[in-house]
Amino acid sequence: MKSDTGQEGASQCSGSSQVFDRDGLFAPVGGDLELAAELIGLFVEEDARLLDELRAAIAQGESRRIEALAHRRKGTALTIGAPGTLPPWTTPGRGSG
Amino acid sequence: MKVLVAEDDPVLQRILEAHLRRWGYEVTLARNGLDASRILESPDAPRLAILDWILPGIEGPELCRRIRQQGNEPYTFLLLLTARSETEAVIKGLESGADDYLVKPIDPHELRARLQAGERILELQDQLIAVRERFRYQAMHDSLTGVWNRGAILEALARELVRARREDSHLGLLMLDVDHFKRVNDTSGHPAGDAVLRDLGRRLRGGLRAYDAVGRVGGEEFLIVLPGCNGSSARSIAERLRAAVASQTMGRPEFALGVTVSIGVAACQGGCIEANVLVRMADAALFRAKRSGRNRVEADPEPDPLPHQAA
Repeated sequence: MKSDTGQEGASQCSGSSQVFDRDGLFAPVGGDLELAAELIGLFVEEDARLLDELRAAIAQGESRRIEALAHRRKGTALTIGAPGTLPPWTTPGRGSG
Repeated sequence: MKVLVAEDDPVLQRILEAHLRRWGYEVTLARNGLDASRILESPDAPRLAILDWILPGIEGPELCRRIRQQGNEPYTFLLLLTARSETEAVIKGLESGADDYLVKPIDPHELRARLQAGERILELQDQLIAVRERFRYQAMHDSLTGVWNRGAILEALARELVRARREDSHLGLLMLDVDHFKRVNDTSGHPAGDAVLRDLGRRLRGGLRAYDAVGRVGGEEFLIVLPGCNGSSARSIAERLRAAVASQTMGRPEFALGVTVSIGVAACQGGCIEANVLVRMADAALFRAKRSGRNRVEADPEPDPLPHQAA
């Protein structure tokens, strides 16, 4: 998923079980492939960090924190058009914040 | 134009930053509400701000409320960014002080249009402030000489009397009048008289301390408020001003005129005298200066004695 070029990032949007939704990824960046590739890198880092925090919050039973982090994950995923990174039961629609 | 982007999601922050830079904005970034607040309160702060609703530290709506409570001028255009599109949330956001509202995921075209609308509002506000400041200046200044007008100098006197009362300090007042000014107008014409008054205003301003105030109260009559000056020092300043005026010609080169002034001095300590009484004292002293031959300084009552002169 991590790519250095926009071309690679774009090609990964074309599969049927895709992580990224092509329109969702390219619309916010105005078709800028280089920026899209940079965003994918940022997203991978941020998503990993949020998942770590989410696991810790679950382990400690912090329900409000769990809710906030889950919303945040959803928001970030939808911002970059990556609904495929969310659990299948995630409510469709807007993200957090 | 500078724009603040307060957004804790690094992905969205980068998207916003990339678009804004491409559109020619100078972008300042914050990842939490505390940093955003600090940036918006700093000198030369961005006047356009995109604030995420949910921010660590201080949330977007609270940030909007704080900025509006401070009533900063010039105005800051605040655009709230949120996923909450329901009417209730929109109302809450706008009531907190936001000017506009953008729902995620953002559409760059919509963002740009909303920022342009914000810029139009800021530009309009700048124009209104400029006009207001021009009117304010005109309402308080004498258009011919550029010094305070009658109302403004009397206000300055009242204000300084209150301060003198509070601090038990001295206050000096000078009433200055151009000698034989009617003769200047009659023999050299009104343009020459105007040039003399303009020149006099400039010289008086130049000869005083930054916190002294000078105003034109009548045709050729000026009032000068001297905070912290007792009678002796007010009289010294008056003498210096009189000598400076008498030593050089005034007006334009084509009708340079020798002009003198007479000055009446009054002073008090602790603001114990009403403004109109102090003005009458200075005026009485000015009358004595005129009656005693003009181009003179007189004090009424006599200024406080210098320490070595005290009994």
